[in-house]
Amino acid sequence: MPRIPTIIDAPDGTIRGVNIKRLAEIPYFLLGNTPNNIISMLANQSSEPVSMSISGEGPAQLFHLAAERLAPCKIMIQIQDGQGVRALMNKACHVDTIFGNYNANNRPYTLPEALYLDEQRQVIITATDISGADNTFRPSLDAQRLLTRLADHDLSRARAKMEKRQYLSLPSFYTLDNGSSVIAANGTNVETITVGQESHFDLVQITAVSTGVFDMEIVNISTGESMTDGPLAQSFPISSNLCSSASAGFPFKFHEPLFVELKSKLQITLTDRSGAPNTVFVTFGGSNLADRMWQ
Amino acid sequence: MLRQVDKFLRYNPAHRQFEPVRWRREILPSWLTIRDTDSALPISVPVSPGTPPLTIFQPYSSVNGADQGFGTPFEMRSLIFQDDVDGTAAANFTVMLKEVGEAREFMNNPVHIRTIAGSGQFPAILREPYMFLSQHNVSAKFVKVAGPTTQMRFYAAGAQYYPWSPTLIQYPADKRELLKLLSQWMNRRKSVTPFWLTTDNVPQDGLTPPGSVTIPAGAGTGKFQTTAKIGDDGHFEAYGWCAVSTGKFALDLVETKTKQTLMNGQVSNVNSVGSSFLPTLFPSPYLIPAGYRLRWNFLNLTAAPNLVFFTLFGRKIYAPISQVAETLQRTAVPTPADSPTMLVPSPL
Repeated sequence: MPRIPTIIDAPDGTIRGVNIKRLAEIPYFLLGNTPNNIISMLANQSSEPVSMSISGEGPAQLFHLAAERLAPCKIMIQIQDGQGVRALMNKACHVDTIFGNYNANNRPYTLPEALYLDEQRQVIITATDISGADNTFRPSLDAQRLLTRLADHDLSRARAKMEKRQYLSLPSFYTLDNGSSVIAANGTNVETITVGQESHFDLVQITAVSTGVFDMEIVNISTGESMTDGPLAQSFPISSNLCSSASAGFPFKFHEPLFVELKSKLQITLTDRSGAPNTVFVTFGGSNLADRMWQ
Repeated sequence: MLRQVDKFLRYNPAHRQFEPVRWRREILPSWLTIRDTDSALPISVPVSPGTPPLTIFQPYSSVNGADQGFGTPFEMRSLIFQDDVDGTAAANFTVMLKEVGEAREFMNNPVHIRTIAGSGQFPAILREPYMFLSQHNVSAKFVKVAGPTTQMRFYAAGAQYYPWSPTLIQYPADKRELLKLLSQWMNRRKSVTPFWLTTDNVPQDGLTPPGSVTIPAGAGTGKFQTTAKIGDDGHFEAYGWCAVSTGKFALDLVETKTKQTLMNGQVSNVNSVGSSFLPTLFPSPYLIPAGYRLRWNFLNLTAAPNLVFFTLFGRKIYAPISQVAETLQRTAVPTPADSPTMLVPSPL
């Protein structure tokens, strides 16, 4: 949706007025429904699914993910629209790869594309502890709220477009099919990421959390193309700290998106360079592009 | 026909060559600080009552009246500072800026320096630049919150316009362009100014700075409620917020007239509040009409009393809200306010 300008001015710079349509847009912070602002979980267990609901005032577009946490945990996000549940990720992702915050000059994670949520819909979050101790997690999603109290033809049309678009394109995350990978000291693991049956995946940004530095090589098994070199060259892996960010607030963004067809497999070869056992979590951020409309 | 290549370059097919957009070359990067007759640098900032009002003054200069009455205006695009004693990242003083000639307020109460000015690496970029005309003054008053006097340097960074530049004498078309832009700025600045909104709270102890709040002790139990009124003179458009505090806190914000909330619970400062170095930028700017009032409900998340300075930054617009059909028009004077708000803005 293009930005609605606030100021209406004349060619000579004189301000003629303030656009009344701007009163229908507000920033919004979406939190867990009361009393689940804080999500608690026992050691090595999952929390109950916690809903974050959009009220009837109007739809919202989610842009950023932020979270305050006491210890590492894995997160699973789903959207529920009353009829069906659509998961935003293939498996639970490590919280530090998809949730930023404002601690220590960090920033919230910016979604690869905005997530449209109609009125009365919910985002459902389930968190799983992997720290080995009781854990709490406080998520907050930054949104733009589109209030329906101001009846306006242009705004209604824009909202209708966004509503339709969500069935064509949806922000999504892919992590390793195994969830994480534990590489032996100086060892190599070959992992895969399998793209879903219903949507293509447009990969635009990458984040990773690990206990040490590692090398990574990404090859699309279906096409044989490597991301680290051209198709004819011998491929060389790239260092994790050069192609991914350990801070969700500043993900590594590809200069061009990588289009991965549905049902394809990416092969991720991980090689430890730390000289010690290395636990790796990698998250690819992008968009699921529908192969067909299913509604 | 001259063809614009980019902001600073155009192609002249008659001469088959690229040539500079000469009027843009007469807008030069510049910094402006406190007038040297008021204070030498660094500026000493003591606790209350703080410094006397210091003047940021834009001088007049011209050659043979070739400035067409515009002088040498300065477009203030960002604010930066450096604290030599406490360190910039831990600076602890407030600032109050006021337009002297036109008696325009830039803020409803003093705001903390780390919610209004950034560093050289992370300058605090104004969404609405302020066009500082020649011979105009902005007064700045600084007050240390607590502790011994500090020494600091404060600058406005931006661009200086030279409409009288002798270079433009042989390029009258370029000169007309520059004068046209300045003329548009002269009109725009009457109705739009940068603005910072903090709380209207005035602590009764006479020591804690106005605008700040002290949330009573008690993690999860200490609460404080306060408000701020958007003046009746203009609407406030907030592009984001930032805060400085002695501990963690949570908040919710409500517009009291419409009862519109900006969240469905209390959001923690770790999740939602940045500083002027990396501020919270709203996905969509928040337009608050004149006369409306915001109410903060603060919750302390630390055991000790929590001193919080909370600032919304944006611009004040002195014009009526109206029903207009234009939704995609380009403004006559592009400013960072026009860029997508999700992104960190950069100076033009």
